Amino acid sequence: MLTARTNQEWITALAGHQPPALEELRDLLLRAALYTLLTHLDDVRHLDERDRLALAEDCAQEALQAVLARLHDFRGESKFTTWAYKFAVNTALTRARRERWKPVSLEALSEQDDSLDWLDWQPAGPVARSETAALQSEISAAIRSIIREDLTPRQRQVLKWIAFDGIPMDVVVERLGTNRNAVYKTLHEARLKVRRRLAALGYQVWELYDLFQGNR
Amino acid sequence: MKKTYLRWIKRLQDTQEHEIDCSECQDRISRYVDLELTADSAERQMPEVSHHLAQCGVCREEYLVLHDLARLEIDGRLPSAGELRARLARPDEPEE
Repeated sequence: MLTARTNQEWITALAGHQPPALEELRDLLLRAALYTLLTHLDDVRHLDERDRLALAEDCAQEALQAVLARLHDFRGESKFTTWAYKFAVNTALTRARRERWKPVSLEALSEQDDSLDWLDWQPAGPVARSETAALQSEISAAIRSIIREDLTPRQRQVLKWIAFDGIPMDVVVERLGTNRNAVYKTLHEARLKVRRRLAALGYQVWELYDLFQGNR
Repeated sequence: MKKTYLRWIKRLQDTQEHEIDCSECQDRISRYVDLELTADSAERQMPEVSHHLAQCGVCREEYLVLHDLARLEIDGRLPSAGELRARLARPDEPEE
């Protein structure tokens, strides 16, 4: 049962290594890890029962160590428990995603040529033979051209894997031996390049989504 | 494919010159969740987090689970470790 500790009580008790607080925190983080894996069952369903439970225990233990190591980082801007759960959720989801994607070779999903066929847009439905469709085709061709000419090979590859192949960022991070921030920065810079070039070419980038949804 | 393309077009459209990265989002996410759960406008008070969650699939997934957990705790409905273990061990069995 969850005791009603204040944030300060949590910090004081954990900094003092008080067993009841440690035990309660361990229990909370285990519940958070178990819950997280349950919400992403498809990532771990292939594991047998023992391995699924062991994974949850591992993640909870890893989260506990992270919380205790970073107690000094807690600024009291949220509930302590919400802050602590974050570690368990992050650890469990990262591990679950990596488990699911273990058998997949990213090299097999790498660009084989510069056709950018993964970036194909085909107008369809009622707009297919309209001015809207013509503009969609024009802009999607411009986007392909910008991506081909202005993005680095790495930016193109990371964009393809994450935005279009649906590979979770954590999996790309692990395979490339980098970190989330670096990958996010790569994606951000790629988007910025495309957006800026489209604007420079005179396209109204703030209306792109409506256009491609066929709402214009 | 169309859905994927549209999602990326939306992210492209909403791209800002400066965006916080995943570490900065993780640093602020617990406050963001607690603000949402107290009915304060988290999006208004922390727009940079809201924006990152719209741009970053992995951070968004983590935020959704964290939100669930924090809500369950507030409501006194966070299942015990025993219950959760049983469900994870045999996920295809109907819950009692």
